[in-house]
Amino acid sequence: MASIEFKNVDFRYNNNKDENILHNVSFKIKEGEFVSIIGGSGCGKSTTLSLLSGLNHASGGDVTIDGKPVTGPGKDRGVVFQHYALFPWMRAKRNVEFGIKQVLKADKKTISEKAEKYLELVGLGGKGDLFPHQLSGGMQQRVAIARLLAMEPDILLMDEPFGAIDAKNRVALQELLLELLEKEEKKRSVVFVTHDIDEAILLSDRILFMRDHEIYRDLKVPFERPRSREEITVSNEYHEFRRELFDLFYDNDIHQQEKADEKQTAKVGRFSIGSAVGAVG
Amino acid sequence: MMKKFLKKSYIILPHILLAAVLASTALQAEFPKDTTGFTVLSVLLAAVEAALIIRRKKWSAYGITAIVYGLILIWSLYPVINGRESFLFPPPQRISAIFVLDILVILKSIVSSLWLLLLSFVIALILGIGLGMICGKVKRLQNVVMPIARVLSPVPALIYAPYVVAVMPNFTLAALFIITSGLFYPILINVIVTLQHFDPKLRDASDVMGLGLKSTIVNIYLPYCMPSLFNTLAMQISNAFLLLIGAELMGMDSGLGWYVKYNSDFSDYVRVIAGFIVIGMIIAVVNTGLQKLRAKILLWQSAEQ
Ligand SMILES: Nc1ncnc2c1ncn2[C@@H]1O[C@H](COP(=O)(O)OP(=O)(O)OP(=O)(O)O)[C@@H](O)[C@H]1O
Ligand SMILES: [Mg+2]
Repeated sequence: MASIEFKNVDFRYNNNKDENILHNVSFKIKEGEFVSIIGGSGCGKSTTLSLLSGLNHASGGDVTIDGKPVTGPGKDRGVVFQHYALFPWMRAKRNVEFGIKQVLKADKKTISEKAEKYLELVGLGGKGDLFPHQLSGGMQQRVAIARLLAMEPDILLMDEPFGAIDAKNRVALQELLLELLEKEEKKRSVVFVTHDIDEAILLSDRILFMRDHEIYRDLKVPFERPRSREEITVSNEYHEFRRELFDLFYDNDIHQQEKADEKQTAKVGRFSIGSAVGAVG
Repeated sequence: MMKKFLKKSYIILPHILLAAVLASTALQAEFPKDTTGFTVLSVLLAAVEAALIIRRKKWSAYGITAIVYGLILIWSLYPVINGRESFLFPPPQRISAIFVLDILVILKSIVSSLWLLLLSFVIALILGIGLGMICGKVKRLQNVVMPIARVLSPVPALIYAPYVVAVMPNFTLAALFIITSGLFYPILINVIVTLQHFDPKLRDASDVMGLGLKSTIVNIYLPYCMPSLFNTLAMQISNAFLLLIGAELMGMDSGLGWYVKYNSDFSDYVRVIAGFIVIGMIIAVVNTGLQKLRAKILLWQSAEQ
């Protein structure tokens, strides 16, 4: 129902045609698979999601879902953005209800009850009557998550959804997401951007590591489902895998530093040539 | 000690001034022949006093009331200082009397003016918001509409008024057209400009939901434009009254503008000033109503915005 494929995808912004934001990105996500994308800031994670959500279009290559090219947003996909994206003029519950209404034709009561249920699941029972500006950043993000889950899309696109959320609720939400996905019969695919290595290991089947606008590594997470945090974190395998990912980040830092240095020397080099020419002239 | 005394006097001051106003006008009233003016003025002053009592917790209420009473006092004392009543500046009790004498004409004028105003606002809002929203969604249309609106909107609607009067079958329709067109452009431009700066985060959020045109306009664009629309409306209220009075002056036979114009033709300045006061009060009431509506509709905005 929801397999995803990126085939040699390039992406450039219209206002900056010289810079490749994504370069030759290829990967496949099977139906029901949970894939995390990690990598340094600015490497193109959010952009990858925006191509999948249909907000941006590939400059080259193909983005397909079930073999059909993505031409725009669709109800088969749901998105939680890196930034809060609630409608400020709707109360928290109305935001969730509005999402549900887009995908479900049902009477008011059903929709209201469903919204209530999901708000409760994300720990915001009783807060439904507040406007977004009356909620903290983390609470707003949880409403956005409730909206996404309540819309029950085939594909969940989540961009650092738990980034702004406090430790306690964060653990609860990770558990909630695992539980919802594992107990359901319908197999949903998830593309999940995160900066948190432990979160990526706990939740995903595979982890894509991006570097320099490319997929640098495609790693399979070595744990079976259903899994629990308690079980996997005590194993040796967990720590080895975690070390591998840390090394990737560490290498990436060195790599970025070297690139920056190179740019610097290139600049200095040009200057010295310029002044040499000037001196000769 | 001193502070307490000042505070006490500040609170008592309006009441002392009120007593002075009543005394001054009572002494000048022509008992028993004509007491209407004095009675109506007393009723009006009682209304102001009631407003003060309702707001007695508010510190500024005393100052405002004191200034109102003070001005009325100076006004009512003017004939005494001048030695006789002024023709151009009649005393308050004469003007108050008009509110009873002319009550039917004034009420009819208020209804006529407000009806014209309401109708123009509704038409201008529907057309301005409607076209603005569609322009927000259809960029090509916007590129056509916007330059035209920018050229036409600064032209004061009253300038083409004589022509409109000649073209339209009657004065009411002409007035309606003039007021509506004066309100339409500011509303249209406001909606278009607001939507041009639509928050990209909200755009993404509504785009991924795949909303249709109608749902986007009703659920997203309209509420998004509300805050700036209310600002525009607040600014256009006085513009609208200007247009209304101007349009009524052109030859209508009812309305507040007509009332003032008609009576100034007869140099009846008592009625002219009474008309000013009614117009002032109507504007105040309309503004207050708008503020109340705004507070209700924009509940979702955070306090600092
Ligand atoms: N609207 C835009 N116009 C031009 N360039 C952009 C625009 N949005 C993002 N970029 C550039 O695209 C690159 C990738 O951005 P993207 O948001 O995908 O990064 P990211 O991996 O999600 O980073 P982060 O972890 O910080 O969220 C960045 O270098 C950024 O400068
Ligand atoms: Mg990002």
